[in-house]
Amino acid sequence: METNQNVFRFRDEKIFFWVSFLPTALVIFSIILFPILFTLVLGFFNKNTLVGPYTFAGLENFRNLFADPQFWLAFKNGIVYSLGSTIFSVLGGLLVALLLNEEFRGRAILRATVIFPYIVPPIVALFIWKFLFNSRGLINQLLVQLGVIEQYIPWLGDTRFVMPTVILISAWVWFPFSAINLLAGLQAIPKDIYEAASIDGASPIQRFIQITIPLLTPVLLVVVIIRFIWAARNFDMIYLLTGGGPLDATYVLPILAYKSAFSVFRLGYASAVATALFVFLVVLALIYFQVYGMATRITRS
Amino acid sequence: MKTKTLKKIGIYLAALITFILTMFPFYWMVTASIKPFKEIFINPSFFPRQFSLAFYTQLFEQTIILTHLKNSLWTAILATALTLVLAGMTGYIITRYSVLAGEFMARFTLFTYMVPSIILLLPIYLVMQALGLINSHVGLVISYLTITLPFAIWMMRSYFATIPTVMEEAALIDGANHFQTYLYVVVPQALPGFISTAIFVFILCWGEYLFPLVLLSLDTMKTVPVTLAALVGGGQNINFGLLMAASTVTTAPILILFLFLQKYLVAGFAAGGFDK
Repeated sequence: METNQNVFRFRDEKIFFWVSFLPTALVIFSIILFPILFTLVLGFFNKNTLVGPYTFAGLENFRNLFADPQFWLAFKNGIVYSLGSTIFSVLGGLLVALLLNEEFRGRAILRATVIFPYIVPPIVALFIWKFLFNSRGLINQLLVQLGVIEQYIPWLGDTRFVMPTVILISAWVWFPFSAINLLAGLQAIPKDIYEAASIDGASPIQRFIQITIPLLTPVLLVVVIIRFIWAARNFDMIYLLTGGGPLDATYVLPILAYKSAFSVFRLGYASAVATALFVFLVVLALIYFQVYGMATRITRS
Repeated sequence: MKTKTLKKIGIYLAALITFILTMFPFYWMVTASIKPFKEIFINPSFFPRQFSLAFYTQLFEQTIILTHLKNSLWTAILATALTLVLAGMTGYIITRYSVLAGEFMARFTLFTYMVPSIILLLPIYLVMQALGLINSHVGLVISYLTITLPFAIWMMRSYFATIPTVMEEAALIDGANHFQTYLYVVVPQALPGFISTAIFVFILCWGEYLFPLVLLSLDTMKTVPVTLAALVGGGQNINFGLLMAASTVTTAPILILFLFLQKYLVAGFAAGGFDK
């Protein structure tokens, strides 16, 4: 950051600074930092109605939480879901990024349309897929006509198929993020490295393995971690597709926290669930910062 | 030569498949919404054989989606305006004023990306309840800021960093104060950054589901994602034609932004990156 700091030597700089800084700081404190602290503290209290009193409960909520099979089920489902969603959205994004890195007619149009799944309201994208994956929907009809399956499968209503289906849908909604960021990563690789390699007789596959993959790895790592965290903390996707069902097959922690708070009004318990998820994500975030720092250092050198 | 032609064919084939995979669901949404009821599931055809606006008539006559669209539009615009005012000034001072503050803010923004909305939800609900801001659009707009503000500061900061300071210094030396300099010199130069940020913030607010779900219970106050969810209800016997008509209407404003402000969208996408 080489910007000139002399700009602020004039008389009204202090007023300007505080006018610019204070309102935002106040808003961020009251609607982000304070709520986080509040939830962390509420996990140690019992409060079982929205208007009722707070009673100190010590570690009771956390003890109940770790003894609750539903918590572990939700935790396990969350890992499966986040991993699957990350793998498919990043892989799809990588393939699209490699394609968009080539020269062809209509590339600009494709680059623009590819982001569309990401910018429509998530609920719209999810309901279209709910429609396509419906028992009597297009996907079943096509598969039967092609002879792949013999009878219609309730993709989102069968415990065997629901998780893979939800993972695929989430990958479709989220792949544009990976695609655009990985494309930026690909375009940052200097062209002359490739030219030098082809003069030395390297085949396209050799060039891909020996140049593209290692140079793209820093961006790839960042995208993978950020996608995993965003999938793990996401609420809408599963809630709107399955509500956590059928038979809890897609029950995840954000849904457990939401239902504990707003269906059964165990607010302390809900806070403990949210805290557990938060701590897990913070650990991941710390890893992310390490990777991010590493990635920027590698990119610079 | 031969491998080159093969590669060309491969590329165009891949491009076609990508295009179909990303756009077909939206084609299916629009065509389903203009099919007659009996054609939705029985032998669905790629091209509607009969054209019918019955679902749209039903949508506008039997639901209050127009009210919900109006609510969505006005809360999203208000949240976008508020976000731009706050994030613009804050983004500006942390880029120009203090390297340390900028670094801290950047880290903090990344940190908020990790925070699940669910952890903010309950305290915000309790505070809004205490302040009497349940079923209030003011309360809703404030809750939107939890998502939009860190993201917008992050985006504006990266934009301000690319603007040279020469003009600002000239303005200050000529006797303008900092407020005038910001308003008349910085903002016009950073306009593309403001537009990009505004589009993304609007998109985020327009699609937000969780906060309006919890903070609004009066039907006349709700926003359009909540309406869509209500059409699905318990999940039994969903009227998909009606749902696709409502989805098409909900997508329309985003499509308009996409068609007319596309270059800001593609440019801003890599600069910030947001979760939904």
